[in-house]
Amino acid sequence: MRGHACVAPPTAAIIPGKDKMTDHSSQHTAVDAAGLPAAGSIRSAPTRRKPRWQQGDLAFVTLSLAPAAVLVSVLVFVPVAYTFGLSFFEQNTLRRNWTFAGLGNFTEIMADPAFWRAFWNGLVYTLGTTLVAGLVGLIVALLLDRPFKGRGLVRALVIFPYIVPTIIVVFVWKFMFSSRGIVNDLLRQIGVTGSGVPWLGDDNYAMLVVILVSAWAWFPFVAITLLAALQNMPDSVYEAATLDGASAFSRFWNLTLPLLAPAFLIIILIRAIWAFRNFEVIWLLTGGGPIGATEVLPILAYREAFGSFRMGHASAIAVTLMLFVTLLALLYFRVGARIRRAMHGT
Amino acid sequence: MKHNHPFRPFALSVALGLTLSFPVAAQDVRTLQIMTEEISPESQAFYQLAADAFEAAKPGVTIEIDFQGNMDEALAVRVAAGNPPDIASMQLERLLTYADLGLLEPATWWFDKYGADVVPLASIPYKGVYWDIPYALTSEMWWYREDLFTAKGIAPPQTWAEFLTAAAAFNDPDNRFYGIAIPAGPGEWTAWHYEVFLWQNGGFVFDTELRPTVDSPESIEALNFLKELYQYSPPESVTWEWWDSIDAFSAEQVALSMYGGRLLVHTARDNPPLAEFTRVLDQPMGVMRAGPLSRKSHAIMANSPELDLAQAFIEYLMQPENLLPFLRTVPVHLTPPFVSYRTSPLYMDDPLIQLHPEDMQIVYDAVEYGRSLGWESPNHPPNNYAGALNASNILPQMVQRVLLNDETPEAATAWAMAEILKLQAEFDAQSAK
Repeated sequence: MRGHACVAPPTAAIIPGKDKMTDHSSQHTAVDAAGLPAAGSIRSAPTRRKPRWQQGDLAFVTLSLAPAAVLVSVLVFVPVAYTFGLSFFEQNTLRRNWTFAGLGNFTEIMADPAFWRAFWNGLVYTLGTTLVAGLVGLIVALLLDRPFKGRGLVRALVIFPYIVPTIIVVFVWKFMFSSRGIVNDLLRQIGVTGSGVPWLGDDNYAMLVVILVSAWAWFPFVAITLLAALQNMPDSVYEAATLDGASAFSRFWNLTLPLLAPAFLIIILIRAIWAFRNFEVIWLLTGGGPIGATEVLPILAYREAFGSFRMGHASAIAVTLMLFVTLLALLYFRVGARIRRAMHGT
Repeated sequence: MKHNHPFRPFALSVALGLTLSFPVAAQDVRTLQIMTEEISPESQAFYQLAADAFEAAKPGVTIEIDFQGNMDEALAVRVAAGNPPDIASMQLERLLTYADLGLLEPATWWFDKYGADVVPLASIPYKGVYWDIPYALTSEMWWYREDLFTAKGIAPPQTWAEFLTAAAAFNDPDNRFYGIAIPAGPGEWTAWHYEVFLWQNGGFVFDTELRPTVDSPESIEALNFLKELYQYSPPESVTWEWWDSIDAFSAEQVALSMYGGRLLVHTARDNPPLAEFTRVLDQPMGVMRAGPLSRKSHAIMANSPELDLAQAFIEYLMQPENLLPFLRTVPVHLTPPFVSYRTSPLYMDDPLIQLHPEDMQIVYDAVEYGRSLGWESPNHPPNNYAGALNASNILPQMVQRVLLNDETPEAATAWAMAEILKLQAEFDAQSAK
């Protein structure tokens, strides 16, 4: 069963010929397909007593926010600023000496093939996990949106990979891909290989396995989020399309996909941001090997800091990583804003 | 509605913060922090018992034990955070790094008292000073399946050629049984298997001036031999690390596997019938006999605020009635660092040792020809590049290039030479600052 029919399709404005549908949104406090509050519902809210901060009680507001602001500053901004500063110094992790290096750490890491290999690996890993998790999540969401017996149970089970601790996920998959694991057993039984494929030890396959395991752990988030978006789509649109003679594929292609697009895009961007700075899955599966085939920037930074004790180098790598992730985050905000504007015609 | 004072939330949060941040008044409580890499459940239980007994004997003393599987990185993190433990377990390569940076207290006080009884090479002086107190020695040996060798009428191998013949004879991939365990994962364990054959072939990673020599003819030969052996290793050994060599043996997947006595302990636990047929070999004879030796020790970190307490606890741990039961938590693997303890019934009466007491002599003898990257021969100085080289993964990658990527040993060693020289230059530049 679909969700509230009174919730307007928020992206109707970006679907050609569907602008009229945006009219309904203004009367309800709604959450749209992208998980963003429908702007109309805020604009037309009944007149209320002004909150205290609008009444000029600035001291109250400042003091209320102060503890949280201090906490966030200490826990987030100070470490970031410290890392940023450290990237301009050479420092032995153990000795904690400070020798100014200017941009030396950055020029050194940029000249290091290991850095570019890790950067490239990070891109491949990010694209791979994002696409696989996105695609599988979309398919699962579409399946779970259809009524069938036991759907509630299946929905609960789908979330399972996302809530299992990473260490358990990794060890289970590691065993499954070992020569004694089920993957090689299956390949042997169908005669593809006799001795088994060294999945995690062969640089041709290791990244593929890392991507698959990460995507398996992450697709439930995509599926559940898209399912929520699907549940918010109005039946009336589909009923109208069916009356107009649209086929099932046509309804999926021309209605479902465009309506899901904003949520999907946001999820993909979030996933890309998370994936590019992922450490634990790769570290536990391959340690960055074989021969650096799955080494990504966080692993390289970790090795530099606590293996080679070059904290300055590690900080420069971390700062570069942070800048790239910040670019992705900016893209995320821009896309989010664009979607909001498109949805609400502002 | 009651009007709250605007400062009330702030005042409450400040009050709460102050309450949480002021410790309860301490009554002469002294805390000793220990970080150790002895993480087997039995060893952990022993440490805890020892700590409890020590605390009971010294009221007001609390001992906190931090068990760490990845000691190198865990200790570095604590030192970097300005919160080092008072006592840390050491291996030679780690010790050289920390001693070099002035992060350790000398162990002269202990060697002055007990040094005469210490097994030779159990601790290596660096810059003329002993920095650590050895609590165990571990010789990495080859373990073999006596039942299989007997059934096939093959004598336990003693030379490189015999090793190769034996590995080939037992290799049966169709039945998923393999001749020998040769790890090729990305970690240090892979490098150890190369170093074994390098040393046996008369080669070294560094010469006596600490210049890299991994491109020597002896090294090329060792890599070629390793590759020959590797064809008889299970396919998944491409990712193997330390414990995989044990698992492969105890799961009856291989006929030969290198490890310390922990392999016997785990086999007895996981596959009891196999323990009786789990026998140890001398390292194979190349140009000479050589094998890896782990020196396990405690060191007191520099500027420990509890120096006297740390010394007292280490002395307490090293008493035979404490140390020998501790070593028996992983018998054969953890062997006594004192000559006088080696024959003690407190150690030798262990049932696993008594399975084949004659094997214990092979393990003890292996200490005599034991090497490590931090000290490759009696002619070498302690090598303070060893820790950085281990951390860099250059040697495992060199081996992987040969075993997995089919690069020639000449090409792989040329790459490794360039990388080691670069690493040394960076290390020297950093040390000079």
